[in-house]
Amino acid sequence: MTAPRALAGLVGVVIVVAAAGVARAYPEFQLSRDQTCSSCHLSPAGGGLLSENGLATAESNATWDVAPEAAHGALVGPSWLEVGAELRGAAGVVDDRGASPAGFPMQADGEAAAKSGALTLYATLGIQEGHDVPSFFASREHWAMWQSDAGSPNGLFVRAGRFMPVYGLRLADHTAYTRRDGQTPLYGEAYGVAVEDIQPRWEAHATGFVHDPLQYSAETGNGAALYVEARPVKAFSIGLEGRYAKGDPDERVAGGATAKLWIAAANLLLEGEVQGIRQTFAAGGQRDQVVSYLLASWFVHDGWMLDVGGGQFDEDTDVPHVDLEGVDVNVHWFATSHWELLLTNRIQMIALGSGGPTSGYSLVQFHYRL
Amino acid sequence: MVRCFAIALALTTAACSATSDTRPETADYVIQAILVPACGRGGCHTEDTQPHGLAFDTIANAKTALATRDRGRQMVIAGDPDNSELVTVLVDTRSPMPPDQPLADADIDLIARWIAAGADGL
Repeated sequence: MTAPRALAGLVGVVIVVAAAGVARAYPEFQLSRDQTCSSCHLSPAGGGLLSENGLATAESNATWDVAPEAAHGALVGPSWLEVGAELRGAAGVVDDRGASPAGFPMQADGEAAAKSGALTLYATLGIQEGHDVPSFFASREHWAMWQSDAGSPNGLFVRAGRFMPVYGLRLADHTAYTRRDGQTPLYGEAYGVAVEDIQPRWEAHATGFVHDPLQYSAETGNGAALYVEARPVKAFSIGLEGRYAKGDPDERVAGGATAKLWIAAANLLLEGEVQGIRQTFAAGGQRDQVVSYLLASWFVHDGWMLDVGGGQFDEDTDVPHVDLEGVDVNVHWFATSHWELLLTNRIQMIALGSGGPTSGYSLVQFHYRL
Repeated sequence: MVRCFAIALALTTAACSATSDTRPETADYVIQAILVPACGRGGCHTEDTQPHGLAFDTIANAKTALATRDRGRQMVIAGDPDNSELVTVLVDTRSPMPPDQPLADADIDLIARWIAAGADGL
């Protein structure tokens, strides 16, 4: 390989993956650590700034004790204001018919929430890969929320603004097949209004949305998403989901199911999701897709979590050999409630068993929550 | 040589599997069904990022990209997939695109057939 060619490949890898990460919640913690996402996060959908209970949970789940509050407790502001930041980066090897080194920033977002009684204003502002100054900055989320029971993780929530329409398990890893090839891809936020009811034994999220006409978004359509989850017992949940979006290039109708089981005796959480998608192209043509992901998370010891996952994506069920299968093995170390070190590995193959090309990666990710 | 072999293999495979792949060989379909999800999502070749000056996040941006040159080579030469840079980067055995996940051969075949047939719609 010539030097320019190698450099071009490396630059390609870095650029392609550079904007690759957005820290969200770990759904592995639902049922295993608390019952709902809203138990630990200000957002009823999970992700972003933590509530007081979320800070305590983060602290109890880490190897070493430090003050879990923003800036390790050094930032003491008014009680109505909460601020934070998320920094992520990764380095390792990406292999697509040939290994290449890769190292890149993933996320640099500031977050703030102002609360007054039943009202909350929430916004993020971050730096992203861009080719000009305006595109260097992005606010992935900014929304206003009213909740029926101020300060409670349960009750009725109404949100309006820019956020990811709630759908499915909402895995933190955006490369999980059900996210990347499903209906919650990276940068899939849209402007919408969501009505969300969260109770200890069930929750429902209904969102109407329109695509963002200003900032880049992977969502190019307008539509609605519905996610309903029941927890008949504390250690088990089952969910149903439906989504519709129509834009200039295509129309998508999607549906699916989720399930989650916490086996306390083994410190093991099992979760899975399957989605079916019918995509009709404005220019003609239609395809049906199926995407699924199954994840087992073992809480090995204080601060340590091992994920083993398997995914499958069939790009077009009518076309042979366009399916993709992959296996993930991830080791998380929550050193403190602010620092996480994550070793993430994937091997995947086009059309398993047919001799299709393989690819994969092995990356160490650093995550700092202010 | 490797590139020519890979393209020949892709076209041969395409001929053999043509009966089972009836997807439209049109620019809009190739772009929206293959290039947008594989290249234009995830913050990669978007209008904001434009690595190599190429964006594939919309049909319009992708058509612009496919009508330009990358590293001195025309992205799409109607009727000539062998010398179209788009096919070259997809079948490159050393640093193919997308870098984190290869395209299925059936998808590369469809792109090659579309170009070979005259790159309709571009």
